[in-house]
Amino acid sequence: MITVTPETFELVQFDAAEIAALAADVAKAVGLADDVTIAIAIDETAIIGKASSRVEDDGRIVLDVTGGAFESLRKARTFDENRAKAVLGQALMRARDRIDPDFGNPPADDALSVPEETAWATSIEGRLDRLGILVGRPQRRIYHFRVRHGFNDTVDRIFDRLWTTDSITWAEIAASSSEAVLA
Amino acid sequence: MKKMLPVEELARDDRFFRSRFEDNFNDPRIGAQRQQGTFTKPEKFSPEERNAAEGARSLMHGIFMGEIQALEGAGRTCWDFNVGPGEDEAPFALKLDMARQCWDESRHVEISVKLNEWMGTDLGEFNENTFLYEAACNPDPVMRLTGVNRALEGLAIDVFNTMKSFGENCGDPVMEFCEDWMLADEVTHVKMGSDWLRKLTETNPERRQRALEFQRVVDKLFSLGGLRSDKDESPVKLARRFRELAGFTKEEIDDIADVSAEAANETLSRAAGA
Repeated sequence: MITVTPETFELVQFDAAEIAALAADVAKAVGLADDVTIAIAIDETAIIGKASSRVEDDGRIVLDVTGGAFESLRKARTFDENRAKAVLGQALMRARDRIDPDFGNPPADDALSVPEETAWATSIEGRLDRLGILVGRPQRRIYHFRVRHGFNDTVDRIFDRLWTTDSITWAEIAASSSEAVLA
Repeated sequence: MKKMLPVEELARDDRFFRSRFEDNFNDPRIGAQRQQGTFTKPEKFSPEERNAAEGARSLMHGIFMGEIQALEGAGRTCWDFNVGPGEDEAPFALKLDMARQCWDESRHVEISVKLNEWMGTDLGEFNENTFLYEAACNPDPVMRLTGVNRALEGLAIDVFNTMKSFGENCGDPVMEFCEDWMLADEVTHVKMGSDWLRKLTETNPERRQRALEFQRVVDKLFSLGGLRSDKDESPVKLARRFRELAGFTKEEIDDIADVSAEAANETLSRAAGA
């Protein structure tokens, strides 16, 4: 079951049912079980795009998302389906990784360092790209990765490794990020 | 060819989407943040900040749109005025300076396109705000040069210097060098504005005063609610040294710092509900 709060929006032109339907599609595509409960809380007052996810003890997945994360970059306060899909893809794939016992035990979203978060996002975006959930944007993603890790060939090779690997653990992601920072 | 082309008639293809400055300024979410006490000042551009890369992409796209409008504005100034000494006329040498500026702006557009590609940004991915061109529609060439060359190209100096530092801090040589080269041109554009302001108003203090007041309004409006200021923690810091090179006096730079601080305080007051 997927819930979206608030049910109606006053400051942005979003539709809770549309977001829930999109989240259902993305959840299925990333491999989350049909019976998983997902609660999406949207702060419609927040302009800066930000999203985090966590898995509660009862298995419920909770997403905290700012309105700015789902907002069109071209027209303020309007919904952008592709951006929303990308944000939901990242948050739900992160949750799926957390549920997977083989993935390891990453820190909570708000405890991730910026380079670690970017490295994990790189791995996820590569996987989302191959799943056909996102139209690949590797140049944007590699720019993000370079800003956090540096602009050199070693960093680019580590980026490629993270982008192209389907089966990866948190330890490998964290080690890759550390290696890139030192490169 | 038409003189004084209104902003609505600028040529854009369907990749581009225009936003209105007043819509951003009056975004109701700012008021809602005020009520909740959640308003936060924008982050400084630094690799350590979580949204820095996205902020840099957005700013770079804004620079690209600004370069197009600067090209359009300088081009219009070459065309809109007959040669002469009147307030609705321009000296030939001023038009020649604007023609040279067009050449620079064309190059800046091309550099900005490449930088956007480098950062993974599609042209038109972010909206376009036409404030620069609107300042270039003033019927008095002195007002145009103070509003555009001194105020907005002055803002460009601050922005390019910020982006250059961002590139330097990230170790991004492409960004650092491109911004440095464009910055050097902007300094000359601002200096053109300063030189022509002094020259054309040498015997007309009232016209000079009007022009400086117009510049003050533009400077305050486009301090972007404190986004640009003289403070270290500001996302876009006032580039004092480059402004000196561009012909600003220390007093004039202090005045812009004051105007920027006023704009920041007004934004914070609005956010605090004062």
